[in-house]
Amino acid sequence: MKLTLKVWRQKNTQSYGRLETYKISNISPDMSFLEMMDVLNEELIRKGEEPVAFDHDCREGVCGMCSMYINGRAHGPKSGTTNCICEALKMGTLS
Amino acid sequence: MKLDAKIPSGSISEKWSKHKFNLKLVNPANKRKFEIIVVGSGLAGASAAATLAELGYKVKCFCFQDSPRRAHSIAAQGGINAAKNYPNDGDSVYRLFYDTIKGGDYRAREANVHRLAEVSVNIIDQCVAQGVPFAREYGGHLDNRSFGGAQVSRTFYSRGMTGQQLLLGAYSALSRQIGLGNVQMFSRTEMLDVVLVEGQTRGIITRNLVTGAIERHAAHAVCLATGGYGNVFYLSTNARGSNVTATWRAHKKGALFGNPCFTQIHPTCIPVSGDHQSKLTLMSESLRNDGRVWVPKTKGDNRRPEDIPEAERDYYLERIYPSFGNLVPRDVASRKAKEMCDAGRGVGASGLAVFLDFGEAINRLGEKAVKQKYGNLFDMYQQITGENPYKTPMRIYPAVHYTMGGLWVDYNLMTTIPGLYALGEANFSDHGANRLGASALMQGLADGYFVIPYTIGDYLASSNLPIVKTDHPAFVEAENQVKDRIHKLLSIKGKLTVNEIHRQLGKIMWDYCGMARSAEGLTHARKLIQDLKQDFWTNVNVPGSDADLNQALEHAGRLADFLELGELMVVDALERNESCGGHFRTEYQTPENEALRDDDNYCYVAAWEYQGDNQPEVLHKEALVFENVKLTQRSYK
Repeated sequence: MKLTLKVWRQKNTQSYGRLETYKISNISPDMSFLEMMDVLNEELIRKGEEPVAFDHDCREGVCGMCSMYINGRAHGPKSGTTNCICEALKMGTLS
Repeated sequence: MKLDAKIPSGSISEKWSKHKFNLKLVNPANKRKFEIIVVGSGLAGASAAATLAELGYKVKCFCFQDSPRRAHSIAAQGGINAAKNYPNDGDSVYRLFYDTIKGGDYRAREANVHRLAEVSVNIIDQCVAQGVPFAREYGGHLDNRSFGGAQVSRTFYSRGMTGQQLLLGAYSALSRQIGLGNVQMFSRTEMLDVVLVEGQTRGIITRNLVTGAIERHAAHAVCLATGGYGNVFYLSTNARGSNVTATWRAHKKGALFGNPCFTQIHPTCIPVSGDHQSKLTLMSESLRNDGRVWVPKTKGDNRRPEDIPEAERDYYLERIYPSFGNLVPRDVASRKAKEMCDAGRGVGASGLAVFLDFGEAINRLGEKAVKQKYGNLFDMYQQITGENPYKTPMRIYPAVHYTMGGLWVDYNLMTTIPGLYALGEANFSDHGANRLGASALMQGLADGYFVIPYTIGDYLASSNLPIVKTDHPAFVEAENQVKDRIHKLLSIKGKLTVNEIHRQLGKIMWDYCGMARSAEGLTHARKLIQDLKQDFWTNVNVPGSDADLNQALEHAGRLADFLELGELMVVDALERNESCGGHFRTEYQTPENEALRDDDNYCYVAAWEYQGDNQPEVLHKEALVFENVKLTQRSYK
């Protein structure tokens, strides 16, 4: 899969933020949204850029630490669950 | 150094009550003069912090997550053991004690394990009083189910989310104390060192993960409840943030590390799907109450499981272990799954999986009843794999799950540094070489609610603890060391990412120090880890600065500690020339391929003492004395 991500980047509370566009390829439908972000971060570090900071911990939808706001919705498209950004992309995380 | 476990005298069933009476007390008015630091807010940390504050001590509690309720105890699924004998099926405190000693393959301390079994019954009462919604039977009594290594049903549960419910109970108790001002809570804060003054633990150094500020905190005693170190394998069922840093820094300050090579590989996890994988998800052991494990009888049979007739399936656990069947302990179940896959009978695309089949249970109980018991686990499986386990068997494979090793502690849970305690998975104490299912929650809560509140008072009442402020030179020195290390990590600016190196470490540990170990492999692994450590310190690239949120820096600091721990695990595994529980040395096995212990030479706790950077650690042995349980070849046949 190839994806275009628009990610809100903001250094800290004293700086202005902006939406940054990233194109990533070689994304497997078995990856979770968080694993896709890992791939992006590895690329950014290799290019000498700062990786995207995001909260996550258990990565199985239980702890509630992950807090990404995806396509206008907290945690992504499914309501009432923290699980959808931990599950495989092929399960419709982005739909 | 002479290790003194401080095991009380007397018969096994009287030790704890007598000991509690003999412990010195701190009078209520004096308790508020003592400050106690608790690092970690999972079941052990939250229960300890809440209880110590309730007693009147001034408590500071720390966690790296945004809230104490995120701690990884929350992900525990199947349940918590207690010797209540509600089903009247023959359970007792003694039987829980016996099962735990045997399950741990006779490498745990009798006195600690008996105490654990004794207080297990109090834990259930405590949690029910807090409102934890344990599953109940139709008549209203608390329900029990079975877990591995036991022939009675003694596991209390809340569907497949028992850890979450227990943690919410402990978190509520903690929150109440935070609200009352008795606990000061520091979230998004990581402990980076302990501070010793005149040989006593007098505080910690922390980093505020949002602002990067390095801070000093003084106290009269410190409790580490920081969990296990399964993430040394990179892939594990642990949360991504789980790490060894707090206990490893304590180790480098003088706390001995017990049985580092004793790690638990859990038999039923969702198999790895590719190189991108960042963590592994557990499918609770409770599923083995109704799920049947099998592989095709013929090598390379890649028909769909529904198309393989009964006669061509090998329910190998039921075949090899008729009396325990699918509920053999975890180490045994994992090893057999590996044997099946090594013999070419594994299933799925990678061949590294076995089936866990609910077909029979669904026919017997109906889909609705199965859903009631395991619904959330089935949903989780479907979300991750895209397959429906009501229609087709789950595919599962072993994964790193828990570490029995940890900081060496005496009967009072104190490490070899006065005033420094280790609770829950962070200590080595109760599970020997293999932990039984549903015993981690029990131990975490036993340590926090029922052990440390008694034992810490004895230390505070009997020690000379002069006033120490955070401007003491020991704090200044510890803070400078922490800062130097952070600057070093940021200054390397090499070519490798932290994640890449962590993956490599994980692969070395899994290949050579995982389910099967050999002297040759371990020796090779040691060299590989040393080289990788060299690579890390010369060629890692940690971007960003130390003055704000920097997750790569956090990860780098934790990985640096995992690299050192990994080498010690390999050394420990190499030194233990026997197989026991989860430690399986291929050179030492019975004719039936079971773990072959050597009680004459290895019936001890290996406690390692740090000697300085790149120096070999020194081994101390605590002999294990069995006065109640007879050592036998563990059999589940």
